Amino acid sequence: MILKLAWRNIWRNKRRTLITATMIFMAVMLATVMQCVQRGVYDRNIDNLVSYSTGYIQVNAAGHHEDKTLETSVAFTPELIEKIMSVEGVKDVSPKIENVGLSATDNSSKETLILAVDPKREAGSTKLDQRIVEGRYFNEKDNAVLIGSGLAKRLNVSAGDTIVLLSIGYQQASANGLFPIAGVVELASPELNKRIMYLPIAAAQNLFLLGDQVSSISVLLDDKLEYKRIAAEIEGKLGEEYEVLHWQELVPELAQLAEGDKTSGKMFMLVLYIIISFGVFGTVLMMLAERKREFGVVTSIGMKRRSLAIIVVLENLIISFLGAIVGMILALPVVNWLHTSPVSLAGDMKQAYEKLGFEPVITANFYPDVFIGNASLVFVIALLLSLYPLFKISRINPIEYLRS
Amino acid sequence: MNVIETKSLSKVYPGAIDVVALNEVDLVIEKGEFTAIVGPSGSGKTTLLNIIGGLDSASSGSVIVAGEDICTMKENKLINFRLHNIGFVFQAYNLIPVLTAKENVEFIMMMQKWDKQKREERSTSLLKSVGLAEQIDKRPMQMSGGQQQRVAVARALASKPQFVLADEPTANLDSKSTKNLLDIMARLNKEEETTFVFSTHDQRVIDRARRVITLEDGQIVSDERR
Repeated sequence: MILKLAWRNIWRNKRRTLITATMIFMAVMLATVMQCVQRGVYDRNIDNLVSYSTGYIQVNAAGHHEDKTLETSVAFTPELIEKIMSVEGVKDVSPKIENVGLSATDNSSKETLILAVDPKREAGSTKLDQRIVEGRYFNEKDNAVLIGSGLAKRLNVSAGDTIVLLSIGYQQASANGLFPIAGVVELASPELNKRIMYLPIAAAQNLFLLGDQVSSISVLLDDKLEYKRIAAEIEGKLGEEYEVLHWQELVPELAQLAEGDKTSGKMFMLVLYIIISFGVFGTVLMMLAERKREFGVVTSIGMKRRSLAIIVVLENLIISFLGAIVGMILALPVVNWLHTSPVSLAGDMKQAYEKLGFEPVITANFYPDVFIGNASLVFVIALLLSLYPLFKISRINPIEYLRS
Repeated sequence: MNVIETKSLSKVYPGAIDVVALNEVDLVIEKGEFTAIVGPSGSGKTTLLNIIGGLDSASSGSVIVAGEDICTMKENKLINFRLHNIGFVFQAYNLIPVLTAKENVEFIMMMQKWDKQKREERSTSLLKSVGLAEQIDKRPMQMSGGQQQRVAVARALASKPQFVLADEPTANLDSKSTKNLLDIMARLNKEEETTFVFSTHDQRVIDRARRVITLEDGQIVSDERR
């Protein structure tokens, strides 16, 4: 009977219920889509930047993160691979050599981020081979490079040309070489595109006189969100001669940027939900005023205040539930559309994104916690707003309410 | 057998000048009575009914209902006491608008935790006895004022209370509905020995009452048995 009463009471004033539920579903939908876009854009750009450079987790020789020279390199041994791979959630490992240098042509030279990778593993993990826009992908035995499209443009080179690479190798040895450009890659991150040059790992070991050493080992994960746990577990398995860093430690400025943006997003959500709370509270107040006499009647004839309170709370929760469910359902196609068809930005927005080193697209990802979080928040708000009618019900004076 | 007994019952509304609504009222109502409490506006009729019904508190004195002093009861116990012992009929019917006639009658029994079958039997039988067998699935908005008041009487009787308090039950009804309602209440009073106590201005109700208590300035000035 209590549920029946609550349900029917909701539909006593259909227009008001629909307006309130609409307000809630709009808020849930807006908040959900916004958060999925915000996190989606960041995750995409973090992925763009991290996957093609540092990796989500990196295993280095101790002190490499501070030093960042080839002097703190690490041997890529089967024992080390086995230890890392034994941690649950690790998909694969990929050796990398990172260095900086100068790439030059007859007419110009540009500062370059040199990243040596295992071509096969990289193709498997980051699908680097699919980023080729000109020329071909390289193989393990090649003594050729892949060059970022931005860098190629700045140097005015293309696939088939030869480039001079000037750098410092192991123990400060001069590391210079002539490399044919096998292909040009177009990475999503404009920042990387402008600076990156890929070498096969063997060619880099030869160039930098590294023997079988590498500068770091990237750890590929089954679930990227688990990077903190996995990093901690790998650290636990390796000795003190290694350091294990996750992407937030490797690229702290990106993590801080994402965190700062999240905070501004939270402020927006707070304002949105405060507005919605006032809207719902208005409905609660109207309902209380309209039904004052009825509350007097039911308590007069013997209805316990607790039962009446349950009905009123249920009404609030049902309206909120309906609004939240509809909001979640309607957010799904919007998030899906942005996920499958990211919107490319143009003009000032594009420039602003590129200035941040971001791919200029608006996209979204599915985050169940965002959907559930917003729906739960609406419930919490509904419960909090129910405190007022509960307070009023606890103080019902039947005579006064009957006279109203 | 006494159903209601008040002893030196007084009610004073404090203010700049205290208003004495009831002044040392001693009253005994026995089982099966059909009593009208009459008097001019402000004489204390409604206050007396409210205190007897446990809706309002007395300033002094006591109200014994079914052997218990309801003036000393805590609020929760009083709500429970009202549920099991007192039926109410209000001037403005005051049915629950989202429930059908049958559900309105069952509402009280449900709060008393009757089982479904017994509830259905009693609500159907009560609605039949007030002449609303055909209206059981209608909501208050779909019924006339007279029909709504008959549902209210059925609701008041649903839990087999010690007595029914009816505050101006015919004030909003036309002559035909009033007669109809009074006939029903008189029959239920006779057949089921239900005790009815009315507060009223309505001469038609006064004419049908078997006992008429007249209040003036919060005191009983006459008590006529017919």
